[in-house]
Amino acid sequence: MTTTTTTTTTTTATSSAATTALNTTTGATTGATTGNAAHNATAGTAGTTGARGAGDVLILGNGPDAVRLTRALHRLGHPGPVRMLPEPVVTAIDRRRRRVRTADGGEHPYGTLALALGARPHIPDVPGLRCPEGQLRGGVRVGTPLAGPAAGRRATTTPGPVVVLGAGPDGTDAALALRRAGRQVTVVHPGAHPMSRRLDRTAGELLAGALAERGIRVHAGATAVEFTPGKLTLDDGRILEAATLLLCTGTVPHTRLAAEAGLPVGHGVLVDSRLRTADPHISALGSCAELTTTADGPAAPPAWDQAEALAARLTGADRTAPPPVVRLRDPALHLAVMGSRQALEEAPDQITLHDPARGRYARLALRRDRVAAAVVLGLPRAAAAVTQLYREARPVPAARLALLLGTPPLRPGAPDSPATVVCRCNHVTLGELREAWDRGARDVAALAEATRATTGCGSCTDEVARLCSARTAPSGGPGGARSAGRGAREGRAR
Amino acid sequence: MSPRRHLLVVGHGMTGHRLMEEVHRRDRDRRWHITAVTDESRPAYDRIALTSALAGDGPARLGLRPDPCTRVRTGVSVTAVDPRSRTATLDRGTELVWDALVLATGSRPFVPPVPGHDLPGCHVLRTYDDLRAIRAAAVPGRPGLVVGGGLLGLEAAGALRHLGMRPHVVETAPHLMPMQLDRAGGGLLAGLVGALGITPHCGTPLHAVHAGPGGRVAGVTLAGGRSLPAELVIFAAGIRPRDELAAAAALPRGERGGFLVDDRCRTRAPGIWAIGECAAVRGRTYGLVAPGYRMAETVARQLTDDAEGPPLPPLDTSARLKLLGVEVASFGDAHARTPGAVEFAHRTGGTYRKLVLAGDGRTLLGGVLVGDASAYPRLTPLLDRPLPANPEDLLAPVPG
Repeated sequence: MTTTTTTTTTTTATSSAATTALNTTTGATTGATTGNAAHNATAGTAGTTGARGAGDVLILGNGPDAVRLTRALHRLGHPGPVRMLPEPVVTAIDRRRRRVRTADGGEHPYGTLALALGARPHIPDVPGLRCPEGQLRGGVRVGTPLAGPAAGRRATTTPGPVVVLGAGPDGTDAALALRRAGRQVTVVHPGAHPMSRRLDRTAGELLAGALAERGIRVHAGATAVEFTPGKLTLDDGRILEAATLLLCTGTVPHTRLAAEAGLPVGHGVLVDSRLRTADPHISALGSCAELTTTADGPAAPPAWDQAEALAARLTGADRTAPPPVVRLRDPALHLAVMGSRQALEEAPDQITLHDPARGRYARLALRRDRVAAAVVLGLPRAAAAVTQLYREARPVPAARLALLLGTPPLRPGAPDSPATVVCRCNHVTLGELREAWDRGARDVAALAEATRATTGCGSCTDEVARLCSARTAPSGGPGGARSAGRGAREGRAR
Repeated sequence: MSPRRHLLVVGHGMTGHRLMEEVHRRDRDRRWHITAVTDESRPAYDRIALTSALAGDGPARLGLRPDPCTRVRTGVSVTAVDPRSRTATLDRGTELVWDALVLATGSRPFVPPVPGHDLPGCHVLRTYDDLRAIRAAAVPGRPGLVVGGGLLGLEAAGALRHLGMRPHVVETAPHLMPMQLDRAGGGLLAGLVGALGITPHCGTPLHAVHAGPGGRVAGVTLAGGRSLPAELVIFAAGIRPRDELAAAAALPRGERGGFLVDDRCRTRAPGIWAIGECAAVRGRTYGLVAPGYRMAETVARQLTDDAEGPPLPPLDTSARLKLLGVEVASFGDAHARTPGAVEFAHRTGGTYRKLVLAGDGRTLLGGVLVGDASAYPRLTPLLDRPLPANPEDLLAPVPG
């Protein structure tokens, strides 16, 4: 996923002081925050006083999410103190007294608590993946961003065929990258098509086709049942050669502390679009958090977006985290996915462009003219435009085909031309009907007699009737007035 | 004055009637003496309006001004045609001599040969007599079944509902109206039709028809095992061209039946033409009236001008109709079969509009409209031409 920067997650427990791996406070001292002077708080002093002002931010976790939030707060000039506690040293969150307890017995009060607890890769329960001691066997690597780019690099240097387990965005990205590097790649996943949690069937099948075109073998609807060095056995009995097995089977958010503190937890710590948990003084962001409003399921939203939004809110601006957009990193495969599959399939207004010959597909699921969900494949300009409309919740312009094809919209066309065929059974054009009218045929029956219109299947009868009433209306336009006059003269002459 | 020549029209449906009208209109010198022979009990009527004529006496009659040179004989069939002697034999044994023969025998309904297909209570819907039989057999409040979810099948289901029955529709294809609509359009139609009290079952062929204790139809089973109750069954599962005369007359047939004709509706035998649903123009048959009318006009021109005349124009397979109050339209390459074609669609709760464009994203190749077909007359003249405006503007309903 291009929107998450990957850095290694390392937790370091400092030897003595169990607090603050990083302290930053920014801005001049202001009277804005109560209590604490806006300077570095160090170990020991933190536990002495009682309630803290909201601007007194304590971040739990010191991984990439925590670092991003800290930097964002710094950038926005957050006036209050900002402290960070690595997650392993924390034993409990005391919400009532708004303080965090650590293993050394210390207590750290907070005004605002930001949970940046991170997540760990999910290791599936497949026999043979782990050594008896618990670590992953040789040849088995974790391929999600949490494992960092180093894992990807290690995977690409070990020679031999690679099997990627999982075809979500991470697995798909990894497969494409490995194939670009010239490796033999096979993807194994349980869904009907890759990224089946987000893509509809049409997009999924196009994506599967794109993978196949690049020589990536895909086993859909399959699960792994056993791994032995160099070989992966599937549930259908197939045995795949796997010098490297890359696990892209999702993440497990670190939610224990939140759950034990009584905060609602789903797959991750549940937060709204402002990243607030059920507790008004506690927020959560990054891979430990699960946004309830977008119902996106267990996918990691772009962390830098969240850090920005949370930091903005904590410094006084009210911002929601913009909804995530999932993109593949492959330079030639342009795929952008917004919203859940459910929203994609259930939103009331559906616009689709399907160009299978060129592998292009776009589906916009709109609600009140705004993008509720979308899939854009093979249309990079459209992807950019739709992404912007989605993130900014702006209405989609009226010229949708032009938007999707990336062409300029046409100016509205001319009014009905005389060549318009009104009665297809008898091939009677609008021009012929107008002429017949001019010559005195003033109702449907007379027009039928004169031109045969409506005497075939009859489905143009309404159309012809509308023509009559349009012509008899006083403001029928220049043509109408003229022909009425002429017709009246001719009518009498007849 | 040169002796009059005899034109024999075999069949007097909408297309046969149009032919007679056209010849009559062009033949000012009355060189042709025209006789039409039909095995139906009535002369030509508006067959398309058949189902909507349930309430009244019957569908509108397509009348001809009475004329000594034209004659329609009903309740009579032609059993054989001899191109060499230019004679036709009637079922009573009478022989008619002709100078020109136009076959306009139409189609017969296809009935799937499943067990029980001919039990009492099973009907087809093609002629006015069929309609009267169905009307007599319908019992309000009782379950009915239509086999076939195409145009005719859905109209038949509507007729049963009008007669107070509760109809189900069984269709082999994955969705309704597979000839005209795509999957999304067919799906929307199924929803709209379902809301009107007609239950569609798609993707399921009929397996068997079962009798009740009285020997009449009581129910059906579908492939896959499901059973449905039915005390009246209408087969509307397709039509087959009536080309029975081909064999004896040594006239070649199209691959899927029909009298094989060229692009001027001429069969291999001189003096014999075929028009309408029974004609296989360059091997292809058409089940809509507009192509039939173009064929009738082409033959009439040849008969009255004594010249070859221009060939048939490209035949229009587009359709626009109101099915149970739901507007449906389909035109051009509705199924995007042209290589490189692009589909652009907009679906709301109650409408589905799809345009098929060429690879350039501009040239209109076809379309499907369900729920709102008001754009149809604006779009059809644009076929095979680049769109002059954004599709959204062309598809938008025009006020008034």
